[in-house]
Amino acid sequence: MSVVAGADDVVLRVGGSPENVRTARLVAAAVARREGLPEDRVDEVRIAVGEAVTWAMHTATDDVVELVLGPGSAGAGIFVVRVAGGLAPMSGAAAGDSPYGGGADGLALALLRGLADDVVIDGDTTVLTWSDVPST
Amino acid sequence: VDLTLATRPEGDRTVVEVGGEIDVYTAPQLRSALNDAVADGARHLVVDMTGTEFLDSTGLGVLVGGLKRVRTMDGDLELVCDSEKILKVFRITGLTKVFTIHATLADALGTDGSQA
Repeated sequence: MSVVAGADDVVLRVGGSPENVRTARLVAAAVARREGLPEDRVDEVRIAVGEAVTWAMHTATDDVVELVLGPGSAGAGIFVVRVAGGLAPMSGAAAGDSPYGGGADGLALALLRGLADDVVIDGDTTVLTWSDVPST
Repeated sequence: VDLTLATRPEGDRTVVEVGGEIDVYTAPQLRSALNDAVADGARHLVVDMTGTEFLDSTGLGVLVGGLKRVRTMDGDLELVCDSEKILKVFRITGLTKVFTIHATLADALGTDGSQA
């Protein structure tokens, strides 16, 4: 998978163990804080990134989940997290076959949509955006 | 320690105290604790999340699963939570309508008007 990251972005690759979700959350919160997000928004990033990484792990085929965190190319005032797994996001029947499927699937999506300002799921990549980030 | 669990009887209730972070990694431990309590005969569960610092959708799924399970046995599962951070997760997912959530453990144990 090809990484497109800006100079201020942080790129993180974690193996598919659920233990690593917490590490991804901690890094995401640290970068969000560095980028000047207020604490309540940092908490939103923490939860949403955990959901996106968990989701990617359950759909990944190559046991690696990759995150790109930071302002990206979006410019000032924007915090973007791109999370890529190895497979298209599960839906319908596929979700039912996954340990993360059934009800939890819907809960995860509800959380992503409720926490980030914008959620785009594009193939194997989930893009979460927080806007109106105060300049540091 | 990512997650701490302690189960104890309180009258006709069984209190499961959950401390730390409930996520995809630790949620199986919570599921086991709830299953063990039910296997031991508990029907009226109070999950005390006063010491819970983080909750994700996997944890929510475990709580919903526990609630469904005890309801089939005419039981119930109520929550204690006063953290705005955690309550937000319940609100966003619409689960505040599914769970009875108390601000304090005393409140949860004193509310005997339910099916208990």
